[in-house]
This record gives sequence, C-alpha cells and structure tokens, in this order.
Amino acid sequence: MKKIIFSGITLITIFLVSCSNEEKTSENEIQITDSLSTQPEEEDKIYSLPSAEHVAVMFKRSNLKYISGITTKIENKETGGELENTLRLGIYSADLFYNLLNNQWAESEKYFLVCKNYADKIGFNEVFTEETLNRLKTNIQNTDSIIKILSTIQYNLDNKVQYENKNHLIPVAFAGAWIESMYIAVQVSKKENANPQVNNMITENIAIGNTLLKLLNKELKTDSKINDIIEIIDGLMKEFNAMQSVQQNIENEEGEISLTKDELDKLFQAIESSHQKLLTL
Amino acid sequence: MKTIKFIFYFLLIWTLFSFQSSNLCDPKKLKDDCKPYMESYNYDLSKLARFTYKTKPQVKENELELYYGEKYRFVFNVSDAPIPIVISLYNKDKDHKNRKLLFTTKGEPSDKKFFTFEYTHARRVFIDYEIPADSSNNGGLVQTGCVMLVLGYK
Repeated sequence: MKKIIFSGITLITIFLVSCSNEEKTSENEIQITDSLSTQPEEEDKIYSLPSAEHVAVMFKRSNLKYISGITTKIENKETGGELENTLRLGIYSADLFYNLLNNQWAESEKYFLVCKNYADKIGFNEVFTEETLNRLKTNIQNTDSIIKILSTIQYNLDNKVQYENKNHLIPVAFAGAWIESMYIAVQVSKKENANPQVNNMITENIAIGNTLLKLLNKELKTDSKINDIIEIIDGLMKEFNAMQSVQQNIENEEGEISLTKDELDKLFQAIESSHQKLLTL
Repeated sequence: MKTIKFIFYFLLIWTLFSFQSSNLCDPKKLKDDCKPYMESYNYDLSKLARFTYKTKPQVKENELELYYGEKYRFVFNVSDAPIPIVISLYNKDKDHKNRKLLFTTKGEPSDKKFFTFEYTHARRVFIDYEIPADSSNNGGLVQTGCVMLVLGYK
C-alpha cells in the first residue's frame, strides 16, 4: 500500500517537473507557452520560399536606393481576420525592412509599431518586442547588425508558426512582403530611369511567384479566403510567364532571364496593379 | 484499494504520454540544436518534414527557392528520425531522369545526427528525404519521425 502511494507521488512529481521544464531561452528569443492547436500534417511534397527579410536584403544588395514616401501608407485597419492581418503584417514588414536597411530610424519605428499591431492581432505578441525595437535603434547605422536582428525576428516568427501549426500563414505573409518589396523596387527603378541591377533583381524575384502559387494552392484547403490572394498572384504570374523572354528561358533554368524594355514595362504595370489589389483585401 | 490502483495506472499512462508528446519533433529544439552549425550564416528559413515509417520505403521531396549566386548553408537535423534516413539534394525534381546529384548523406555513419552542405549556384534545389521501410515488428506500434532543415545565407 505504502509502495503504491509512494510511486503515485513520485509519478506526480515527475509529471509536474516535465510540464514545467521549459527550455531556458536567451533574451533574444521568445518563449513559447501555447499548446499545439491541431495535429501537424505530414506532407509528401514540401515547398520552401525565402524569408521576407532575405528578399529585402537581396534588393538592398542590388543597390536599391532609398526614396522617401514610396512605401505603403500606415493604416491600422480593424477589418478582416487572421488571414487579412497576416497579409498586412507581410506588407508592412517589407516596408520596415526597407527603412531599416537604409538606416531610416524615424520611419522604421513607425513601421515596427504597425507590424507589432498586426502580429499581436494574430497572436504573435512575443515577436515584435520593445527589446527588439531598442536593439534596432541602437544598431540602426550598422546594416550587418540590422540583418542579424532581422534574422532573429524571422527565426522567432517561424518558431511560433511551426509550434502552433499555422504553416498556412507563411505563404500569405510572404505574398504581402514579396509584392510590397517588388512594388518598392519598381518605384525606385522608375524614378532612377532603370537601374539594371534592380531590374534584374525584380525579374529574379518574380520567378519565385510560381512556387508561391503552388504553396498557396496547397494551403487553400485550410482557408478558402486564400483564393483571393491566389487570384491576384495568378494574374501576375500569367502575365510574366507568357512573356517571350521567359518562354525562351524555361529550358535553361539556371540562366538569367533578360526582359526587353517593353516586357519590363508590362511587368512593372502588373506588379503595381497586383499591389493595389492586395491592399484592398 | 481499487481506487488507488486506478489512480496509479492512470498517472503512469498520463506521465508516459506527456513525456512522449513533449519530446518528439519539437521544432524549436530541433532548430536551436542546428544553431552551432550555422556559424556566421544568417537564418533564412526552416522546414520540418514529418513522416511515418511504413512497410515500404518512401520519398518526400522539398522544393526550395534560392537566389542564384547567394552563399547558402543547409543544416539538417535528423535526431528525431528513429530509423536513419538518407538526404539527397538534386538540381531537378524526382520525375526528371537525368537530374544531377549535388549532395547525399548516403554512406554516412548511421549515428550521425547533423549534416551540413554549402551551395551557391542554383535558383532551385530539390531535397529528397528517403525514408526506409520499418521492418521491425513493434507489436503493431507505428513509428514516426521528422527531419529539420535550417537554411542560412551570407
């Protein structure tokens, strides 16, 4: 009898210890305390996209200049649910990265706070913290340090998404950030009278849209509202994929796609139109 | 006495279950364990591939978009794959006959838990996870596992 009671107490103790034994995290990492909402699914075919932060870094490396006032106007919209707020988080995160990578603190702070607002709305409260804001402010003149901090934000976002099994949000946030980054690049290219490096980076980025579409279509079963985003991206990709230079390049996947002036103009219009449509969702 | 026995067995099952569910394929732990292998690379993305061992071998494929000319490091963590799997990287998907093998863990020691690979010149790679058949008879218990990929860039 005593043995059973003793064993019972031991088991309770082990169980309680196992529950409270959360891994200690460094001060830059979020603590995940929520439980898994649904059982994760197994996938036979997996698609992976670059992070929104990497897209911004690639544009910066293509000598994308800073022009004030071309990013999306800040609005704290109260309409829509998780999907719309994730899309807005993606759009504004691209604006945040553009400002940060160009050492613009005042604008960065505004975009950080709007990103925090939308991240909080979808339950990702721990990602855009005051501590991260302070670190960005301290390092605003050091682009390498900024990239490291952005990597940490991305790492924490991915942790949260994976732990809560909200993988369907990844392509939605990416769609917002991807279109916004390309929209910014188009505005800069138009004002600079065609910077070939920026134009090449726009072309390189637009090709990612084909994989983004596959991923969005895969996640359609999770949330039918994704269809609105699919229609916008699909229209953009149809325009791009039909271009003669793209058709010629299909067989040579590793070669660079070089668009004609006319094709580039059409692509710029298509990006601007898609951007406008995304903002209305 | 019966009530105490019931509570004892209930707690035993509950405790075992809680240990199992909290430790297998925890994405954060698997990613954190990859950090030392990232060295000076910036975090780009991570992808957890979950699988169930079956009576026949299977292949799961991860199609990955890259920037041409960018320096990448792939870090794979197979700590939570109870039966060793083979990871191979190709330039084309598994439906292409003449695809080029870029990297494979085939022939590596079966107790190795981390693999790294660096690559630069590609716009897209296809990662095949070759999951062997589970020939062991675990009293009908189905074995599951996963592999974590963390991608870094410079």
